[in-house]
Amino acid sequence: MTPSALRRSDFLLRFLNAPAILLVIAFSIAPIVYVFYLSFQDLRIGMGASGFAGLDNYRFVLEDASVIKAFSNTFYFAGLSVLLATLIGLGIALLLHSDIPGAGWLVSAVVLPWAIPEIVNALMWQWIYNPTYGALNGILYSLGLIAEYRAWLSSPLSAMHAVIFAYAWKLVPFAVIILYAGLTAIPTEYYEAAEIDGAGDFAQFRYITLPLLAPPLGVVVLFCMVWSMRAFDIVYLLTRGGPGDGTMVLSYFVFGKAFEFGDVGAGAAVACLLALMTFALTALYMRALRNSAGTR
Amino acid sequence: MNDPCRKTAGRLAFRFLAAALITAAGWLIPSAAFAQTTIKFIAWNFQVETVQEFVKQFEAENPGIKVDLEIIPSAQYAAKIQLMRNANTPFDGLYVFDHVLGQWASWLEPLDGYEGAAGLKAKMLPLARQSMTFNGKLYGLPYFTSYFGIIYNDKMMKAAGIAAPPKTYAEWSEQAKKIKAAGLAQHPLIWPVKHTGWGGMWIMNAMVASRGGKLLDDKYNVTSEGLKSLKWWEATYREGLSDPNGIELDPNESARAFMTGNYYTNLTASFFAGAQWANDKEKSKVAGAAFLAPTPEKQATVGFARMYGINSASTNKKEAWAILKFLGATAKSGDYVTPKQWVQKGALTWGYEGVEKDAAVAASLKSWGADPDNMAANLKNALAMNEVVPFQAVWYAEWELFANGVLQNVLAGRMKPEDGATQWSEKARQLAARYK
Amino acid sequence: MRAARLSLGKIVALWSLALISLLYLLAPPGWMLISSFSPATELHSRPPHWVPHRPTVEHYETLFQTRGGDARALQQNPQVRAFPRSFVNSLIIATGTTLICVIFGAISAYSLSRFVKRDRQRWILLGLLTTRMIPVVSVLIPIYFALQRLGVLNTLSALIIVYSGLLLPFVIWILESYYRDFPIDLEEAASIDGCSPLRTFVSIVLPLSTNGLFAAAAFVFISVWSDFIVGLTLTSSEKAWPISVALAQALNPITEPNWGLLNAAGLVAAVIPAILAFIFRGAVMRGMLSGAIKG
Repeated sequence: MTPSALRRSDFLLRFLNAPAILLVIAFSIAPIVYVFYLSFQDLRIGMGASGFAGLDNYRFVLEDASVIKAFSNTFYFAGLSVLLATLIGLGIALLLHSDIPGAGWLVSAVVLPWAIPEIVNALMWQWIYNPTYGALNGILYSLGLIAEYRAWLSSPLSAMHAVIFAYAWKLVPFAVIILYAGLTAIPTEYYEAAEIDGAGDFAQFRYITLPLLAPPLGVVVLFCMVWSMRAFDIVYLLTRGGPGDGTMVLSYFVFGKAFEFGDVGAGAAVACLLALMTFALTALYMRALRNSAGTR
Repeated sequence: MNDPCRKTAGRLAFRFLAAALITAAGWLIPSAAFAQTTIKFIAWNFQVETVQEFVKQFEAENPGIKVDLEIIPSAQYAAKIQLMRNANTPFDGLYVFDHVLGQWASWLEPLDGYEGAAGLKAKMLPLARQSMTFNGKLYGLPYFTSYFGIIYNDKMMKAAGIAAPPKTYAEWSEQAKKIKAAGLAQHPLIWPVKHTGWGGMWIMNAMVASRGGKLLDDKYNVTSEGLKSLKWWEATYREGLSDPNGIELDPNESARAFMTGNYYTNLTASFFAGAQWANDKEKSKVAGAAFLAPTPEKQATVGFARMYGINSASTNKKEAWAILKFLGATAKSGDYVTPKQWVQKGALTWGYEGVEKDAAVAASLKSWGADPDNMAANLKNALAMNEVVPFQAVWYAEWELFANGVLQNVLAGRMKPEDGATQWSEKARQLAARYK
Repeated sequence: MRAARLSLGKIVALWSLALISLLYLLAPPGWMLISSFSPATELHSRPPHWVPHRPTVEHYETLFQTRGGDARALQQNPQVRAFPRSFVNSLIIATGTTLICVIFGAISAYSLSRFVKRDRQRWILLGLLTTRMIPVVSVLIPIYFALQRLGVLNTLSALIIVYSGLLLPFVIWILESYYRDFPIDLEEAASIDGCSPLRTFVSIVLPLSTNGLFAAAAFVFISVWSDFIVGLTLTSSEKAWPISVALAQALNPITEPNWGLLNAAGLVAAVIPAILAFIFRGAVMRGMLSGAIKG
């Protein structure tokens, strides 16, 4: 190829990168910068925009008991969701790995929760949790575990756990796939050597599987954590942050503050704090992962 | 090349061009002659077909105006409108909730100077006029009003040997205990508590008004009437008189629950007693036996109003005012066409004096057991919410949502009434400081 | 644990656990399926009829407004009327976004993996990852403002562009690690033969990376189909409503929710992503892996 033709083609390749770069800047990067800018502005409906507000929004937000509650709700929600999804995912992954006949069905079924849209997920669980006709009430009542039908989304504690269970259900596929891949990557020689040494199943799990599964486990926990902290749809569709503020997570709080009450500045401040917190947790987590990998 | 085909082609082309020009002229000239204006009107999704019909009626009366009707689900209405205004999305007229008037007044068009406004304002019921006035200016024409009363199950009441609905709160508790002891209802009292658009806090407002007081005083402390009402209400749950499962019911859901016939009373908006709800012959087990009674004690109550408003950034304010008058007042005939139809189609009450005297309206009300004059009297005495709470403060909507959550905690026994009241005060002070 | 060496007790235990897991994954959507074919009377029974005595398709007929549907139910749930239209909308939006993301994402991912220096690469990747940390709700405010000024609110094309912008970072991230592992010998051979980078990419790399491309495509399609809040904010009428928004509105009726109708609607909304995920499950799993493990 002639140098000029090469240059033209090279230019074309670069040119074809432009749409992606433009789109990413326009919709993923610029809005974030703008939100950051907004968090320092005083922009409230009914008061007009009165310009630069310095750290006022942040001060107001950090002194607000509702914000503190939203933070603690979000931590609890994310922590328990991640725990549940990881444990159940690990269990299913181990089952898949055990090569029992019929595991094929399980593999196909695993993708289903991930594919179902969150709105359908919310509808599904709302129907299951329904206080008058719901399936959960039906099962527990038929088994004699409850005396009368209960409204599961009706008390803050029960609502939070109901929402977590529904949300974690959708996280499980991701956990299963990553952990299953991790399991298949463990060389069988280790297990064979352990068999020869007389180690039982639990010992094998504890001393071979778990340590070698640490990196994939780390990935699962990291991703699930980042996703859970941003969760919005399930809360909006199941409980609207209620009852009271029992399931008020930060994403929903931002929505309420900025969209429903028009305090865009404060909403932006909370959004930036959430992003900061996610970023910090991620950085800490990755450092911990790298350190543990180094010591092995 | 005297190609005959060329000449024919040329002639054809000329004819085609001429036809095109004439068609284009035919398109443009009529529209220029009519000078038609299109206005954008936004409504929430209550009885959409009825609203579309009204719009058609309006367009028939006003041939120069076309209406582009946009419907937003009521659950997202306030948020969506805020967003649209923030981004300068053009729209001309819209539905307005009275509890966001304080927030939205900065961009709503004051209507006092418009043709006929003064006359309409004078004919409005006090409830309507106060709900639609902010800082002395009128911002809307009434869509509908409603007041809070006790819907009671007459069958159940008589079966327990009770003569009349309660006149005091103590009597209310006694009657409920009697009904419970007689085995007629496990939890005789049901209430709208959960907030979707509005909720239990408006019941609080009604109860406080009935005791003749306000909920929050000037320093945002909860008044003694407020605390008394909260304590009484919490006690009914503690004593098993109110249905604990009902704490998560919003106004629509609690109204539907009442229709099952399992409850004695529901203190809620008056239209829930109408033929589309408690007196719905097909769906309600208490149809024909559900009546409205006034609130106990001083029998003062609160009401609320929804209104039609105009966007101050609109470029078609004259036309918007025309549709506002059609929907919120009288048609060209001088008849309250739309308000009357709402009485018949939704048992929604009206915003002007004397509407109940209309034969069709009176007949419709009587059909579900209401007394038109009684309703009119109650409406006239209904207080606008801002007499009881800082309803028109910019931050009120946010406070109400928070306060409602606290209320749910108190009624469920998770928080003491005194602590709930303290939280109400603190939140009000915090928000008032931010929006000073 | 090899299957041959398992004792009977272990097999039974594992089988029961597998059954429980299958139930955990399939029972909720299964119940939605059953409910969508149950008449209202059986839906309102306590305890519920796990298998309907008299299954019916009336809910689906109401949903698609064919003869046999319950006209009254339709009248009371006007939001459901927008359902067929919103289904089509979602198809258009998801397909459009998938095409843009896969085509341009692949090009950018390839360029990033081959032609960008190591440390710059890491920064860019980190940046792409960070964009996913802020809640989508907050970036909607500036996006709404911008679309409003351009006058393209409530249009399908605007939605396609916005979704592409939001999903490209993830697609580039996944495909970049996929291309990083790509054996470079083929490309080196091609460049020795005189092929330009673009030609190499189009003729050699692209055809061989169908696995990764399908995975990315499945991801994008399913994510867009699933989305709710972006659709809710940026649309205002059935002209552009995606299926999730139409369904969400049907969930908040003033009258008693018609659970049969809602479950049918939910099923219809879930059927396309479910089928796609099933067909491409291999590619999807590999996509999840390459994006995650190399992270």
